[in-house]
Amino acid sequence: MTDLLRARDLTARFDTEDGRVHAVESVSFTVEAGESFGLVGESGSGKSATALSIAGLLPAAGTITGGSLWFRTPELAATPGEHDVDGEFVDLTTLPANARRSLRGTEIAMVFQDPMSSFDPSATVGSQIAKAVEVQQRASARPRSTRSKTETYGLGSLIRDSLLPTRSFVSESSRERAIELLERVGIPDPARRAEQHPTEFSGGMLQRAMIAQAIAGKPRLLLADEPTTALDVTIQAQILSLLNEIQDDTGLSVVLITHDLGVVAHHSDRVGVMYAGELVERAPIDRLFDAPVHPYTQGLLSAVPDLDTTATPSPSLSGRMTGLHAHELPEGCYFADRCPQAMTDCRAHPEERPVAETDRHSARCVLTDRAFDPDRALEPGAAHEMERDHQ
Amino acid sequence: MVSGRFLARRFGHGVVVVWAIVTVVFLLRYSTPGSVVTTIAPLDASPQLKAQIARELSLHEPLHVQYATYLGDLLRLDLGHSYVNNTSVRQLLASRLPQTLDLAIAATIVAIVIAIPLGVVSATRRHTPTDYAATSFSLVGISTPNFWLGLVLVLVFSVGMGWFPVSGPARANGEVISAIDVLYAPQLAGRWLTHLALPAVTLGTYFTALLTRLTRSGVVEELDQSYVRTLRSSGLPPVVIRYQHVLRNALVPVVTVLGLQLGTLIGGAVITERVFAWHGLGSLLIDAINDRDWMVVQGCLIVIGVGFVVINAVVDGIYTRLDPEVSME
Ligand SMILES: Nc1ncnc2c1ncn2[C@@H]1O[C@H](COP(=O)(O)OP(=O)(O)OP(=O)(O)O)[C@@H](O)[C@H]1O
Ligand code: SF4
Ligand SMILES: [Mg+2]
Repeated sequence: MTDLLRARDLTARFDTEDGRVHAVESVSFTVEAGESFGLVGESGSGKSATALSIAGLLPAAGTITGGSLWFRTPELAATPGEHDVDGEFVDLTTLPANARRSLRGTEIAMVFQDPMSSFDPSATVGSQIAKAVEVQQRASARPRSTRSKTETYGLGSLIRDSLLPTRSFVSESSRERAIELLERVGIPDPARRAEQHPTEFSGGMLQRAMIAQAIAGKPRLLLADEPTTALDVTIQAQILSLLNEIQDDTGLSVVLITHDLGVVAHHSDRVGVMYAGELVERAPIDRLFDAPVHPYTQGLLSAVPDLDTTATPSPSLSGRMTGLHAHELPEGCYFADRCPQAMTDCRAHPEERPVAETDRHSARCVLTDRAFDPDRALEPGAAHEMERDHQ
Repeated sequence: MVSGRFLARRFGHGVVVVWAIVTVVFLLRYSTPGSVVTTIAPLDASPQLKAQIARELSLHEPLHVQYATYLGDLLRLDLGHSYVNNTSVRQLLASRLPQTLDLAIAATIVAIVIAIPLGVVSATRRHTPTDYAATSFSLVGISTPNFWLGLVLVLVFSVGMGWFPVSGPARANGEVISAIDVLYAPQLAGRWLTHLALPAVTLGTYFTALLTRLTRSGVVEELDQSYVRTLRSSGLPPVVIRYQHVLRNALVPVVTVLGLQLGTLIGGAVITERVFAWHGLGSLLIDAINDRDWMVVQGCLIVIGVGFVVINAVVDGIYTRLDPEVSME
């Protein structure tokens, strides 16, 4: 399989009034062409921040402060930015804003958690999808490398488009394509629906529409950030199988973000588990379920009731995740205060290491190369001390 | 998609408000001590004139008959007679209204053309020198008094540079010209504009500053909405996101203020009209009050009030286009 995206030591921070938030800490993973990569972790573990970093959509307070995001796009060979030796990958973090934008929609698209707030309430759903189509049509009409600066869409052409009745940002063919896309994602009566506003849609229908707008630009990578969290259980399954179906049809790669390991079990090929901004374990799905190494992963698995896993059941997780402000982060393993297997070894921050001989399974935990030794176990009190410090 | 029912209801509101304004104006003639005839008649009116006025306005009849006569006249668009100037009030108003509209509309255009892009740029480049410049401008613009600004502009650009006439509206063959005349005689456009420029800027500055501030804060708020991120995620050019989506949503409060302010511009340009010797409704109203020309005062109040209502109705119409939910409520 060819790789589509290689995140290497990706690090992102948010600047806030009470200091820097270490939202993404040296995260590395690879997304192969056509595969579904699951990103799991509890609330605030940095899943969204990771996805937004890849899409180049971090809010103003957020910045990528380190690492690289190698994305396979030979077409961008002529743009400024870091390239790897054979010119097939470009480092997204080094691209100028314009080049970054030209990849959005057409190469990397995103589906967000809350469909209701993710559409402009005063524009029709169809028009918003049509605009996404239009971006792609313009891009494919002019290969990226030959596009000149003057051809970018400016305020002048916007005013012309708005004032001249014969001109419009969105062409007739884009509008028709938007209706086809609505039909493709299973929205009945798409022509009528296209003319409606988001408030006239149900949550599930709107999430379908968001998927339509995400695939409008024929992207190769789809970042789905908890696409079903805001929906009813029955509808969740429908949306996930729609994503599967689209992936089978188009061969795009999906990064599926969820806090539900059960979802990942059915829909992902490989999984990364995030905790406190770090990727603590990464493995093909079967391996993760059969032989999880990180105690956090083990805890997550035992919390999923109807999962047929051979992993030894471990007590479910208690306590809560450390805060991510620089001053809140402990020196050693970030999970130590909740870890049932914490040892004195864990006072040094663990590196990410391959598990056994395979490099497709790795974990950021001392248990990768040694077994739990009760003699060196940390007093459970250490955990509670840390918690009290935060309060 | 604007529902007919919504528009009908809106029109009904407008009619009620106009009726209320007209009635209050009618009752005003009883607000001063002395008989109604002495209130309405000029100071130096002869007994014959007073009798004639009483007859024309049914002033010796019971109140409801007076009121009926008054409403009947208004419905026929008969605003009465200026006994001071000895012309019909309608004619006086008609000669002044185009000047007022020229000034109000020009000031609004100045405001919209400058304020909206400035507010958007300022919001999208928050905390940069551009933003600080725009915010300082709106602060200064909001707190600068009109008469002072007008005088400074005249001193610098008319007296100093000689680019603009010192005061007064544009004239052709001794007649004051307005936008309508320019439509028929485009060669007058240059002259008309040079006369209009400084008063429009004077009147529009406060308005521009206010709109810049409103646009900025509206856009800042909208930019935080999740839908902006979705639009960005599909690769839309920032200019499309800002002007077709963010601004459109941010405009709802801006349009409200625009409507209210435009309403006040119709009657409230008194100071600017004075500084520039402009022949508008504002100076007509002040002159009429000084001359105790009751019928003209009454006519001005009615036109200004009705103008306000009409403008607000138009603004509501724009509202329904901006925000489909308004008409669905
Ligand atoms: N705009 C922001 N400003 C400051 N801190 C932020 C911002 N957005 C996120 N964070 C912080 O960054 C960390 C990671 O947040 P992120 O949204 O990536 O978590 P998540 O795994 O997606 O959680 P969830 O499941 O709740 O969506 C959290 O500690 C969060 O508080
Ligand atoms: S490094 Fe130590 S404390 Fe951290 S998860 Fe592994 S065993 Fe637990
Ligand atoms: Mg999230």
